[in-house]
Parts: sequence; C-alpha cells; structure tokens
Amino acid sequence: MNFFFEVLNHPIEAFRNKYKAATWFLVVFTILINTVFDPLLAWFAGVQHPIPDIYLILRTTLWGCVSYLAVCVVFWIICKCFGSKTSLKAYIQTWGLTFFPTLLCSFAVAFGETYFTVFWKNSIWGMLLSIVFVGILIWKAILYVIFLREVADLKRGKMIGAFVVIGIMIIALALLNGYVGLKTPIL
Amino acid sequence: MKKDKKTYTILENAALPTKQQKEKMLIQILLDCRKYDASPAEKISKLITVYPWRFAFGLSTVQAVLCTMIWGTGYTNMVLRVFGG
Repeated sequence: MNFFFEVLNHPIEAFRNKYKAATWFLVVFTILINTVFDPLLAWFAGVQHPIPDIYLILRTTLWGCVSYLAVCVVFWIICKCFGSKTSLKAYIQTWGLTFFPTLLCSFAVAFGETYFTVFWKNSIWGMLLSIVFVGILIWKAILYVIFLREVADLKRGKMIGAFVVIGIMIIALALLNGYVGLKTPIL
Repeated sequence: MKKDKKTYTILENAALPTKQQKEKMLIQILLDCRKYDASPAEKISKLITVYPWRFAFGLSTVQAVLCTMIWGTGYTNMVLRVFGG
C-alpha cells in the first residue's frame, strides 16, 4: 500500500521506482469507471436512462486501452524528436502513474453529469465542483511536467517544446476520446 | 577454528547491503543533501512536486472562491458545462 502513497505524494520517486502494478491498476480502474461505472450510475439514477449496452461498454473499454497506448506512442515519438533516449516501454510503464487525478476526474464527471440538476445554478455545489475540476487539471499538469523531466529526461527549452507539442496532441486525442464516448479522456 | 572463520565470513557477507540497496541509499543521501542547500527556486519547485495535490487544490480553491464571488453561478455553471458534461 506504501507505493500508492508514494505515487500520490512523491511522484518524482514513484517515476524513478517504476511501480508497474500501480500503473496498471490506475489505468484499468480509470477505464472501468469511465466505461462501466458511469453508465451503471446513470441507469440506477434515473428512469430516462436506457439499460447499459454491453457492446458499447466493450467498445469504449477497448478504445480506452488504445488511447493509453496512443498517448504513450505520442510521448515516445515527440520526446525522441526533442532528444530523449527513453524507450517506449518506459513510457507505457510509467505514464499510468499520473492517473490518480484522471481517476478522480472520472468519478467527478460521472456524478456531475448524472446529478447535473443538483449542481446547476447552485453556487455552493458549483464552487465545490469547480475546486475539484480545476484542482485535478492543475494536478495533472504538474505530473505532466514532472513526467517530462524525470522519465523523458528533457530539460529547459527542450522540455517546453515537448510540453507544447504533446499538449496539442493531447487536446486532439481528448477530442477523439470524446467522439468515441469516453467522457474522461484516458490520457 | 578454520570452519568457524568461514561461517563468520558468510554471515558478514550476508549482512552487507546489495548493489540495489546501495544505489537506493545513495539516492536517499543525495535527496537529503538537496534539502539542506536549496535555492528559493528549488524550494518552490519542491513545494509543488512533493504533495502536488496539495498545491493544485490549494490554488484551485483560491480561484474558485474568487471567481464565484465575482461572477456567481455564471462562473460555476460555465465550469460545469466545460468539465462536467
């Protein structure tokens, strides 16, 4: 259990130690919340939601796995262009360690969307959700920078260049994820 | 007596740290050294990179309180529309 606290609190050390089990757990759990928990919650919460379609669940789960591999390939190619010597395997084994905020975001999006009417035009709930969503975004951005520095081993100008280019690719992949039905991008 | 010496040597060797343990010890010592002679920029970097969620949610709380005070539900609804479906 200690390595989970390390991933949460000391990401630099976690990236150096490459906790593969934590990576797979975080990635798989995030995909399942997105593809299984979210439609089930919507189905239990309201009568207007249809019974979850098993084929849709399987399809989005597959797209989730593909998205994770795709973002790792993007990291590998672009960081290689900026002079990184890290292997693709290292990206696949460590990018998942940044999935704690993504996991929380999946939960927040599932509840936010299902109980939309509770939060809409309510300043207290709205403010709390805005703390959660913006906090998650900042957290993920911090982990993204640490990842480029520690795993891709890029410094200063090269790191800023890779940050911008990969950032654009991440936005494109996020839009693609939304198109295939993944509310929280598996990125 | 000779046999005893050999046993002691085996025990001594077993008690020595492995190569991996030595590397971990070195990393720990280097990290500890950084704590003592850190520049202001390094201190800020450490504040952000250690417990990153604490910094992220702290900053987020400040922005959420300020923006809600200024724009009210217009702001919270906009955040909900963008992030929460």
